[in-house]
Amino acid sequence: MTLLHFVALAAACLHLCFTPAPAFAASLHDDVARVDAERIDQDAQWIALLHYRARRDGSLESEADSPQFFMAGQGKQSPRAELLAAVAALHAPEERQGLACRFPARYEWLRARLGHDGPDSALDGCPALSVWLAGFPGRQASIVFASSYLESPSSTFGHTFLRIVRQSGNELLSPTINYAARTEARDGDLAFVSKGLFGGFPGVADELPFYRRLRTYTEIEGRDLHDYALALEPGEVRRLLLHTWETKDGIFDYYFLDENCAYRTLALIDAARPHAGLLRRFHAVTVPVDTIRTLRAAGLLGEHRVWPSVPKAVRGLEAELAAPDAAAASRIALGQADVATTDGLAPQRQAKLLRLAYEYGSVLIDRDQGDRVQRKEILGAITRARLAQPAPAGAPGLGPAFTPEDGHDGGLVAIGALRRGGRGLLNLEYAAFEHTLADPLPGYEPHAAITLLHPSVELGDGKLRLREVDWLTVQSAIPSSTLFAPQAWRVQLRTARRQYADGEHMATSLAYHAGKAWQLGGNLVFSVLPGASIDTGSGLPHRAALAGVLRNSLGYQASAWSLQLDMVTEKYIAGSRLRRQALQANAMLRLSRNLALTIGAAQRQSPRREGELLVSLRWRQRSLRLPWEAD
Amino acid sequence: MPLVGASQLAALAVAVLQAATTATPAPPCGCAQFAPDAAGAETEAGAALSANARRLRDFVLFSHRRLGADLVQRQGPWLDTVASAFPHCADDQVKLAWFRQALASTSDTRVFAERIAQQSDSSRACPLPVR
Repeated sequence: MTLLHFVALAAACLHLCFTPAPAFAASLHDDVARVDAERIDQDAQWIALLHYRARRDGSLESEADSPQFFMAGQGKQSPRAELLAAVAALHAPEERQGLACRFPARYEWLRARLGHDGPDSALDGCPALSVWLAGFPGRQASIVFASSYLESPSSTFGHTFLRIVRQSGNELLSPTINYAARTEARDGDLAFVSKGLFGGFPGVADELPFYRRLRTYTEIEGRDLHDYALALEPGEVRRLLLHTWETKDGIFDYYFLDENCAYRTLALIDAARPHAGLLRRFHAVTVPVDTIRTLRAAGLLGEHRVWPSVPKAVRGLEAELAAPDAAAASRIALGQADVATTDGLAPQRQAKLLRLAYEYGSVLIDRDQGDRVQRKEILGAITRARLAQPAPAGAPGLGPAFTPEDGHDGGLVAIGALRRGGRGLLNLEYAAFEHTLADPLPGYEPHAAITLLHPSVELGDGKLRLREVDWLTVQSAIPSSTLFAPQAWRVQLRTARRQYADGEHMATSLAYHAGKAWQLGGNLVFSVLPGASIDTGSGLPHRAALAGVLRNSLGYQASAWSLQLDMVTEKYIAGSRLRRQALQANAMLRLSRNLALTIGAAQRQSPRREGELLVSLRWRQRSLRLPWEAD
Repeated sequence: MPLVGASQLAALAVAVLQAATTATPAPPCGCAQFAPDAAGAETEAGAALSANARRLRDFVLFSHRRLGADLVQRQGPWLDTVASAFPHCADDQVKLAWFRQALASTSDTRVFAERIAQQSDSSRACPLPVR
């Protein structure tokens, strides 16, 4: 018997001596013996409920950061100490009620695991818990993935939250469980990033009804919501809820990269279904879409439903109308024309036009464009006109055909044959995360690209040399239309081997472009992006220079293949008089979800003329995974 | 007809008449409250709403543009949610017509939301239809 064991036993005995003993089936001594005999402290459910994770030395430590989450002094490091403390509390009438009310999931599971199956009303004696639980009338759950913002490629990583499903027809009132950082307004940008990366924000869960989330994500932020039914039994959903109660208020610190919304959401599901091993593959970084893939692989995802982004749906409606009708809808929504101007149109045409005007006016309100009161009056007039119409405008638009987990994994390893200046080279690439405008589309938003940490090396003539490191590239090239005129933009920070008058040198450049994109028909998009680049490197006469850059691109993105043509003209305006031109083409063929073949050709004048041809096989892997890291 | 029996019947008729004139009128149940000539929600504006009615009002207020779009399209989850607050009326078309009329006749969203919430409260004691 260990000292800890003895203390727990003695404490419980003291309670038993001075308080009336409840009618338990087993004594504390029996239960402690059972804990040891059956190694209950190593039970997957106990490990999941206390959030123990293995450290490098093989020992366990809980991820919970608040001491209030533990009943034993050594509880953070010792599952056994924590379990013995819980068992002792179970047998001590004064502590038992506290255990039930503070840690109801532990309480219920421990009773069942130890065979305390007699009648019990301890949970009924927890009024705050009862009130909170009454807000979750459903016994089914779903996980909701919010895709990226329409005009913000950096939100490509997405967001997840849980929905406790009410009966059909009432689903918008379903409560949700959304885990987020509790930030403070007084935190500056630096404090925000620092606390987000290294801890400092408490993680909290809130329970707004689903319609409020829909408003935030699909209307205001313009994101698709993908709702997946979770294959959890009602008892598991109950455990998930009880465990949410235990952890919802500042028990964990919030970290942007690893212990983020998606990780905590997955950890709640793990507490409900611990044997699925859902958290096993998440260590340094948790990308929300990867948690969806993990749930899919574990067979935990059922029916899928999309709640489409409202601005995207409006774009879809606009595409269905002839340009003059779209312009008329715009004028009505902006208050420049009266609803009555549509009176002479055929009913179906008028219905579609007014529907577009209504939805566009709604987007303008969400974006705070124009006078809100006036916008609402216009919407009211459109609504009354539409209600007076004999027929609706037709079926609502469909959501995206692919789910986010259909998309390729974010990480990249590529091997290719490169031919430059008559020499054959082996080209090797890695990316922590990469989705470019040349990648086929399934599962990703069109017209958005993001690359994070993408080095390329060349091997030839017995030498290995670094060709380029793309530290960060983010691009948005959403086409303009009659109703919307978003700015197309691109920002890139990279270090690359570049040609100068006296030969090749490494140079680091930060470039920003802003312009416009247009849809030429189908999935063909043309963009013009003027911009500037600040370069530093030993090849420049003053080690730094400023260049004006014009980037014209023509891109075609589809589900099976994509094509991208870029023409880049660069003229230094300070620090150098160099001028460069490049014409490059990239085609990518999707062989499977995570395998693609790419063919690229480039012709550069920088300042010498140089041609290049690359054929490459690209294998996708988990986002931000290192090449040598096991999955 | 025996005399005693006739007097009993008369007394019963008087009692029924008295009850009808003095007691609070029974709430319109079934789909009666959605009939075109129905008086509408009896609750005075500003009267205390039940928790369920407040929840419904908040939903309508918060989602009125999506609900408006569903009402125009005559279908959609926002419409389903509001319709499900009136389970005692099984005729969805009758409810839809009333919601559309209520939306068309009110220019203020808050009034529309309040009206639906009051309508919900006025029928909360109604029995559910047997299916």
